[in-house]
Amino acid sequence: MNIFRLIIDKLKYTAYESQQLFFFSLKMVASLFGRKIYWAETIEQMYMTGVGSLFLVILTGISAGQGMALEFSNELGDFGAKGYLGRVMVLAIVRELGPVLTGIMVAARVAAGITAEIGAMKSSHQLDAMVAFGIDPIKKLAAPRLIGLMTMVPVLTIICDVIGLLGGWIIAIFISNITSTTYWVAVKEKLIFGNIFVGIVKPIFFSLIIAFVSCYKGFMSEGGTKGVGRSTTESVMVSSISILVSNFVITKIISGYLKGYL
Amino acid sequence: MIEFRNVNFSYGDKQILKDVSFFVPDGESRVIMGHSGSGKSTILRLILGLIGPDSGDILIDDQNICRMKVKDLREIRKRIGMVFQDGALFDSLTVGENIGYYLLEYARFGLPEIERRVAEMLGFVGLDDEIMDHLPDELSGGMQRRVAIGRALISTDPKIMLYDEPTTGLDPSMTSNITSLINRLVEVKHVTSIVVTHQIADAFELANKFIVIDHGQLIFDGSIAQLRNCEDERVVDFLRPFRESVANVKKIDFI
Repeated sequence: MNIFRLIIDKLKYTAYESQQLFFFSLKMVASLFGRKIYWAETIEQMYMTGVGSLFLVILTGISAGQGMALEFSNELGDFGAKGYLGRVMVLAIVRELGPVLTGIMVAARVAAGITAEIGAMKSSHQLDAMVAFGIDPIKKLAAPRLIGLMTMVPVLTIICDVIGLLGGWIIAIFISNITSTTYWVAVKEKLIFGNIFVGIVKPIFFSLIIAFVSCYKGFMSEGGTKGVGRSTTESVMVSSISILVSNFVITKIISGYLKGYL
Repeated sequence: MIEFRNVNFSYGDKQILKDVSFFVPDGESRVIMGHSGSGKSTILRLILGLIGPDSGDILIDDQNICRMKVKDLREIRKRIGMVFQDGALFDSLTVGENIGYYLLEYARFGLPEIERRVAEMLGFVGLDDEIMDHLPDELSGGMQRRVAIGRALISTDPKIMLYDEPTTGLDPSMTSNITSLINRLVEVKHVTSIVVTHQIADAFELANKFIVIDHGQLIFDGSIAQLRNCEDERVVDFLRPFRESVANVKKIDFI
């Protein structure tokens, strides 16, 4: 088989998977509506996503904030512009790093868990057993996870942003010799609606990506435990790559088309 | 009543069922036999509407489930109890939560009433209610299978029970317990039962009418006497290793 044939087959498979993912996502969104809402499962998922990922997000936020502040303050110092550190930090953390790092951390931790759990349920016929009871597994399993991610990823992102800015402040006062007032005034100057809006919209998109991909991969998992492992790996990989790509697309759209409004 | 009319089903390019037709009247039991991979379990999944046929009709109580909306299909499923291969118990829930799953889901009664019914069901399937707080993994294979039967039964007092390899992998004593339980359900509750198995000795304990499937084709549908006298080479080949069991089987008189 020649290389072109392989590439064409791969492209066809990717197109088919994308189409399936799209229709599955529509079903997930549709499952949010209707009389029955699984409140207990939804709250459990919110807790598992939010509280479960908190430590990871704090650690990521403080490390990223300090690292960025250190690099920026060195560069800005060459131009005598250390006072702008807070402004640069807001742009870097609130608009870009906070949402992306939180998204990737949640994708690594939560998406893997969701796919593995649903995949294991499928391979042991537990999903079939649910259907046999007249229960819609998408409504019962996927919808609470979608709500959990949609509500908690933005909250985690805000926490990551705050922790990142605090990390920058620590570097500013202890290493870069910038006063607290200078740093926080600069931060405040850039904490305008547009930047906050971008920082909130992105995690909502990322949470949708994580929920759709991880649930889809779980429900479509085949081939026993090996298949569940494969689906879990794919779930994390596709979610993470999709977050990075969509981050660029969202940034491009916002900076290209909505710049005047934000 | 369950009826298959010229049902065909395939997974991708592989045809699993070829033009399968049979009829099971209310309150009767039918055992579906055949080699592994012959399409037996697929028949149960089709009855439950978990998958749809490529062509043909499947009727449950005179209603064609092949052209049914998902909402209506859910109503049909509420009349059917299914015991999956290996039980398919919810492994993160306790035995009590597994058995009471349907009642908890549809909130038909308060918690004390659900607990009472679960304990009663555990007794019916021959288990002690002390295991109510155990996780399925802490039970033996036979106990898990009984919990699965209890879970299927408690749902809506089903009119149809489907069993997928209910005795596979169990020791003779546990097998005997499960077959007795299945027979008791037919006697006491008059449910229509379809049991899929490749354990021939167990099959003759469970019904006196049989279907044999070979490579997706229905090659036999009839009584034990007809099975003994069947001259179809494929049926004879299938039963050859169990000739003694077939010859010794006594007529089962509960149907």
